[in-house]
Amino acid sequence: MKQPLIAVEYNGIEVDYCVLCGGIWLDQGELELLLGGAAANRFLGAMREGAQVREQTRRCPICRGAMNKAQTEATPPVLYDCCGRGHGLWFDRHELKLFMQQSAAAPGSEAVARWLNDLFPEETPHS
Amino acid sequence: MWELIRANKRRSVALLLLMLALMLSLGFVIGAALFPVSFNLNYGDPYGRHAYPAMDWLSVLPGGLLGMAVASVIWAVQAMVAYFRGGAILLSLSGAKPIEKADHPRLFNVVEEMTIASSLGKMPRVYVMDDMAMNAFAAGRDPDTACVAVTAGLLARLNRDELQGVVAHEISHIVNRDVLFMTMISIMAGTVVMLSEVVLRMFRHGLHGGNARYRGGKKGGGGAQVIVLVIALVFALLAPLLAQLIYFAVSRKREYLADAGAAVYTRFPGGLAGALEKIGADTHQLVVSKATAPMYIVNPLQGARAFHGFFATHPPLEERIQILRSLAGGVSYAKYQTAYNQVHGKGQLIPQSGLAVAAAPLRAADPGNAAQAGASHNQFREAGDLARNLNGFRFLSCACGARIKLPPAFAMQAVQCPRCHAGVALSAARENAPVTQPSATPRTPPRRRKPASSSAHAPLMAQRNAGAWQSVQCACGAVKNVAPSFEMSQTVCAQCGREIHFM
Ligand SMILES: [Zn+2]
Ligand SMILES: [Zn+2]
Ligand SMILES: [Zn+2]
Repeated sequence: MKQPLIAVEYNGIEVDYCVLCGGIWLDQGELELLLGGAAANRFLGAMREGAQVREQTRRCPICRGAMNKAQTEATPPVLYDCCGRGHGLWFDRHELKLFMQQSAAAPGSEAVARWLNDLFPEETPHS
Repeated sequence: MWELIRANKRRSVALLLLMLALMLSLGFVIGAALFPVSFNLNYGDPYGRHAYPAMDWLSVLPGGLLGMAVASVIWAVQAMVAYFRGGAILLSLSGAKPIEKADHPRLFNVVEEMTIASSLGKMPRVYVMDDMAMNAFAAGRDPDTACVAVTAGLLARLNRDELQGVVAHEISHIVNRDVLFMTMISIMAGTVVMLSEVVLRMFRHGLHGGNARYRGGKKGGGGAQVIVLVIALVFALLAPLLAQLIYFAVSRKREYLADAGAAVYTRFPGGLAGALEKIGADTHQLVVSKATAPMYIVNPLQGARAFHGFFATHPPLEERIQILRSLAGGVSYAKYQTAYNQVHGKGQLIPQSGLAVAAAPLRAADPGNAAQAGASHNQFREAGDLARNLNGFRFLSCACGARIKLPPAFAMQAVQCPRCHAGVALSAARENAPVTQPSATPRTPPRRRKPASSSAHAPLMAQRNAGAWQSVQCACGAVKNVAPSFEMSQTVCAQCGREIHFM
């Protein structure tokens, strides 16, 4: 069965969330609010590297276009999906956890990771 | 400015007649091409046609006249539909939905202010389009039926002065009687495009020999019909272009005039200029049809830095901004005219009576704008939630502070909070015992349903979550969304009419 994404707002910031798989969608507008326009574009831009992985293609919830696979530069790299038109990012559940652990994965990702930790405190890895 | 309004009305009528002429011509060629009537008086005589060459030309007349008759009926129906229902059609095409004051108090206040500043008799109804692109338009046939529609994207990104500038521009269109004209031309241009499609399709069909029967079997037969077909083709290709040209002829001037009006009403031209700058830099694309595109404050089909050519319905944004920015030392139509001449070149934009009005001093920028940067978060959220409300989302609050927004297609009635994993349900309006989170309280045994007559009037009680959108489920099952600024202590269920009291 399919379910549309629901939105979760906490402390003024919002993510779209899939109740079935726990994956999240980081909208471009939200990233802009969080990081500022230029930094959000840098963040999204840094994420556009194509990664060769065998993972099912996801569609962008905004434009329905096939999203590109991308990965962070950290070790181990975190894999996620990215809309080629810059609409936003998709993290699977386990990818989200990994991303929250590696706060310096990309320019601006520290702020994003802090925010995600705030939004998902129960998933936050203890360090 | 009465002379301006009168001139605009006159021009509108002239343009409507031009549209009629265009449609009659189109009707004639379609009719003539569809129904060629043979005037062979003596059917037995194979040379009959050539004996009366004049008759050949006559043969296109009946079909052509029929076509013209049909076209004039279509025109009349359209003009009537556009006049009486045009506003409603545009609003529904754009997906704009009416809002109440509590849904967005800032937008309502701005519309109220500009209604007073422009001496418009009645406040236009306020509509919001659920779209994160930035745009706005006005609709309605006169000030009494006028509406102003803005996108959620506009509410999300403009500060108060900028929003006021955009609203003033739209109200200026209403005051100048531009709106009815724009609505009618939009709808009619749509039909001309459609009719010429018909001709072109007919042509493709004809060329493939589908109806060779109607083209005359022999070589060179029905010379008049061939010519008519060629005319029809040329016309079909040119008519949409012509329809647009007719519109372009005056729409650009109207845009400048509306900008001038906005500067005068707001006494702060920087507001509209700032809004146009933001709209020009916006990367979101509003999805609209070709026919309704000219209605918007910025043509959504032209890119941000659109081609400034002959076919632009709107003057280039840079020029509009430059004129507004160069207004200094007060605002008046005369000052706008001067600035227009400096930036754009020669040309009388404002009628004499408008130029005579004395200049008013500029007012200072809204002090709230400085604090705007910090508030933009809330403003963005506020506009997004308003759009969600219009789309039938339900709003839930979790005790952990998370707010959960369920799209209408979301099938589950209750969800687990993604943040704290507690169960969260809709706040329910109940008789006597109000419960915010039914999942957290023991279930009461099912009660017998009371007779409809008594329960129909029993008011329900619900807990109010201030500061956020809240969905309240009535005992009848219907869900009512309450805006954060909703201050009244009770509301009414839209489905069953029961009163819902907040505690
Ligand atoms: Zn996309
Ligand atoms: Zn929670
Ligand atoms: Zn009800």
